[in-house]
Amino acid sequence: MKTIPTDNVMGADANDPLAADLCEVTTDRGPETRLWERALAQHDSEMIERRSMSVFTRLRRPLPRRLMAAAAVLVLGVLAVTVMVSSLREEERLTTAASVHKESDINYQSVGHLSDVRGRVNLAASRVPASIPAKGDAFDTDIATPADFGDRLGRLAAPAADAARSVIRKATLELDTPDVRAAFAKAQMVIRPDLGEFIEGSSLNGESKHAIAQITFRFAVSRMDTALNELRTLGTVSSETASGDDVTAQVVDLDARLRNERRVEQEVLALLESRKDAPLKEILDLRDKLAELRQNIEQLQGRKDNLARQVSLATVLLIIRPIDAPPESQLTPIGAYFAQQFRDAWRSGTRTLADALAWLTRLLVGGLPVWFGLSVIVLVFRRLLRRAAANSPEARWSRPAGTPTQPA
Amino acid sequence: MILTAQELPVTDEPQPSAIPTTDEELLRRFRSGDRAALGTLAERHERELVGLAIGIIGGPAQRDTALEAVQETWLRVIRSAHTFKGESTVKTWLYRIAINAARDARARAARLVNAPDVSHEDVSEVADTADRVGPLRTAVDQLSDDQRLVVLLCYHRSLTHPQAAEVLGIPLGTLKSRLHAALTALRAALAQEVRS
Repeated sequence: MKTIPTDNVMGADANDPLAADLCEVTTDRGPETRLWERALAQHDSEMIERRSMSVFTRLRRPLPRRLMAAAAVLVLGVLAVTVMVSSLREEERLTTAASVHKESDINYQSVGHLSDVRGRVNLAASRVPASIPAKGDAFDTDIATPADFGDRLGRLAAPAADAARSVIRKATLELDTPDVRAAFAKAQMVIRPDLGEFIEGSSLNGESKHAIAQITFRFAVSRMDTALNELRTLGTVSSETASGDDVTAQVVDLDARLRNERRVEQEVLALLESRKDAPLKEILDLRDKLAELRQNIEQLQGRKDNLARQVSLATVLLIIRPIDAPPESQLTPIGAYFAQQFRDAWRSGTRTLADALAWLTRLLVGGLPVWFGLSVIVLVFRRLLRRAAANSPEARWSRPAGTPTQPA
Repeated sequence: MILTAQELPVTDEPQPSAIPTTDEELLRRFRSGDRAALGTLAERHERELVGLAIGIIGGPAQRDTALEAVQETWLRVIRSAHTFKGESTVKTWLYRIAINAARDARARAARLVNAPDVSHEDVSEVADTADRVGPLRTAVDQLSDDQRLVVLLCYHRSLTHPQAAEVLGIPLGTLKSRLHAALTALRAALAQEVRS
């Protein structure tokens, strides 16, 4: 006899024929079944089949959809970030270059000439001499001239006074100019790379009254005076010093020692050649002596080359300041010093904050297409995940009854 | 002596147990390798599940389909026994699986018997001619999906209303209101049939 739920709220109790018939609707009158045994057997056969599946067959099965989607999202994300970072760097580089060009343009317009300076300014920083004397045989002759530069520098017809001597020339030139940046750019045009001249170092710091530029030139000795004259035209000379270090004695000494060592080397070689039947110990001693001699020769040669380079290219340090630059190295009271430091720190902090905000803005606004694409990918991926989770056997089987299944 | 789950013999035959165990304990034992525990669990619920599947699928004429659905239910239980987290009772979990399996079987049978867009009513009409409660079954099939499931579960002899609500995943109040609406519609349909 069927049992009707006693807590039926509709009053369809056991005496209600409708309730009895409804109970009948979900009652099985058939023979007894043992369906669980069939299910177990089916499951066992499935497991056996799965175990017998070859490795090759398993490999041929497509990757899970989740894994593929995750891999796709990962690859796209990495690509997007790479593109974004590279574009931001490029943009930053272009922005910096544009600002430099803009400032240079203004300055050059104020100067009123050198129409092609802008392009040359960009190249100036990377200028290196076409050829730096690697082996200065300048002192192989009695006259200490930079012979390794012979073909090129020799044509410069060095002054006779300098030709007899080896002098390392240095000069420092300080200029005051209303426009430091323009002078800085124009100064770099003075060098002549075709003569082996180059800029050893340069810096431009600060703005307006606090700007200061420094350039270290290496000019060909024969052209040093000409170059200094050109530099002087860039502003008002506030200070100028020149010095010359006569290294003729060092050169002569080096040359003599070098010649002596080479002569001894020849003698040792001749001795080795003539005493082939000498005891082994003597031969080994001679070889050691020969090695020592050659090491000395190399060291002397290196020092001579170095001197030759310093002699052949004069060093000129150019310092450019604005005309109304505040005096430097002025001692200030502790209060003023503290206030100055505080102002600098505040300025630096606000500048950093502004830079960070600007960078974030560029990242957000400039990367909008990327963000949009990533958002779409993430949404699609989440939807796929949800759909896969909803359609998984466990979720589908355990879903509350009556819940509509999602379309596959 | 009471054997632990690991010590229990692995056999296809259900072992008589002097100590009545809960469904949860039986499922735990099955997960531990005791296949007989599944038999005990099936002894408790299989006939009721078959009856419910018959009700959902369309009547005694569809009993074979209902049996397939219940077999599929046990297969799903075997496959996903390790995923049962105990958030509901094993009984309601079984009924959820059985209902979904029966619905799948019904849809599959509808696709096979008739055109792809065959309705549930068509299936039940084809299914049952000699059934004593055939007209009632037809009327039940004309109910909406939610109402039909509520009626079948609430008048299923092994489920209480709270259990039916848990199976359907709805509050008890919602279940009662749906049942009220379903019975009203059912009586109206039956009265209409008597008049005609």
